[in-house]
Amino acid sequence: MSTDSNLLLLSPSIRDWVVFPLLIITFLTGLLRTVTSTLLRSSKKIPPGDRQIRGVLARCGRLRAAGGFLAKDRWESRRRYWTSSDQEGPLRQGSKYLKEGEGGKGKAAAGPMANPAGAMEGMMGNASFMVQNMVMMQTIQHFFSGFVLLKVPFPLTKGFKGMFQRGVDLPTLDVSYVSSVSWRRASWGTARGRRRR
Amino acid sequence: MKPRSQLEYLRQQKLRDPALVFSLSLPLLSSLSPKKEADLAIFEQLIIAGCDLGEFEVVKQCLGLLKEQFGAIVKVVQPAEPGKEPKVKVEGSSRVGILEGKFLEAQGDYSSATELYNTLLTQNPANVLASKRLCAIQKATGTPADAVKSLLSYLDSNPTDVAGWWELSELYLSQGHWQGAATALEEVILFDPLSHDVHTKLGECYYGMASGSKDGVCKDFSGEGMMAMARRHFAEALNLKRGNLRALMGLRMSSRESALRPAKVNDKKGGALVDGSVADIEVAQKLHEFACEEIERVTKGKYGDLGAGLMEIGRREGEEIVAAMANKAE
Repeated sequence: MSTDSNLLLLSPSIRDWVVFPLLIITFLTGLLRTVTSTLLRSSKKIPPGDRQIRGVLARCGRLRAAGGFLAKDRWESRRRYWTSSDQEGPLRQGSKYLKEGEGGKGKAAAGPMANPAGAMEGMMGNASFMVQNMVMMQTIQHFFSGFVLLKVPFPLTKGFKGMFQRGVDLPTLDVSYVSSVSWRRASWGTARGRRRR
Repeated sequence: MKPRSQLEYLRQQKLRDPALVFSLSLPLLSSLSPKKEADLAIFEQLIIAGCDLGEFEVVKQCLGLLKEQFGAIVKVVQPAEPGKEPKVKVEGSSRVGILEGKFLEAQGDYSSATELYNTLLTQNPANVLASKRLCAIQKATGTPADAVKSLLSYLDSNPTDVAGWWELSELYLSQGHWQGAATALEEVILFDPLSHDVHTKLGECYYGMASGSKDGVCKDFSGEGMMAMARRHFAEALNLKRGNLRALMGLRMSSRESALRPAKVNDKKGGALVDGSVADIEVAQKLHEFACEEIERVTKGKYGDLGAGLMEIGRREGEEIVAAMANKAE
């Protein structure tokens, strides 16, 4: 099947008003998110109790990882110390930092400033990130749907039709022609890579 | 290389050469300004070098400029609410506070420095630099036991500080406390298991504990016997760095001890202490042979009479071990 006869001519205004703006929007929102997250994080102070707990967990992790370099008895006595069933055992100390693991409904979920830094922050960061992604996808689907955006230079199989051509209900259209949502996804992926570095 | 690039290199490599830093940065002092971010690191380097060398006039000048720009540490008493005590809030830059503390320490005014660091810790309890300086002050002014106590409380809240554990082991060793040093070095090993000098030092600690105890068994240990543990760590050190003469000497001495005086180990049924196994003694003998050969290889041609003397001792010890094993077999 020759591809030349299947080439569609797309309006250049699609390129000007959709392709480039989507790219710019993705990049800018990513930048905005990283900037606000660094600004919010800088004012937090880690309470000393949580540093201790994190240190304990780090030491137990090290014991598991590098314990083979210690003599058997020494490893054993350390293991007995950490896993002691005594009420005062280090792994049995209660802590706000650990409580949130129990169903996540602990008092620690009250407000962002009340939470100890660390897991909760990461969780919330991820949650806000997901929410933001969802919102952007919905907005784009709403505003930029119903038309073909661009043609990817490599051939795709029929299975990808549903994913890449959302909103374009032409069953005979070559799968290489994709819609705006997939362009948004692609630019978001590359922007993440660029930012990570 | 330009002075600024040289100073940057010293900063990046974390090298401490006060004379060099001072000679490079003093000429720049007139052109430095605390408003420029690039100059701030040079100010810091100059202050620390000045404290090291005792050039207090220069340090006072630099600190004055920084305090003007960023604010010295002060305790501000806030207006008291009726019926409550007035709250004290700490204001000022903590980084400048640390530098000021170092200046006070350099002048010998440890009480003001301690007060300043405690103030910094009320401002931010997670200020690691301030807690470390408090430990350093204890080490400078107090007994080693005091220093150990303060370092232990620092390590309670910062247990992942490897350098802290290393420092603790040195403090214990300075008091001859083998067991404490061994515990501290074990922590270092857990963080840094592939470092041959930690294994060597730990082997030496176990050797010290074993030679000082009855039957080569310390009350906290059962099973292997400490001399065998020392042997293992020396062997590991050699595994990590072949030809390490300190570890070779340790291996030779500890394998000789464990061959001639095998530790009593716990009976498998958990009863009385019984003699160590014959297999373990054979391992000890082989390790002793290996150590002697390696020492010969490493000291060949060097050290003159000392090398020959070492070989002679090694040969005699080897014969001793063989004789002991033959006696045991009878």
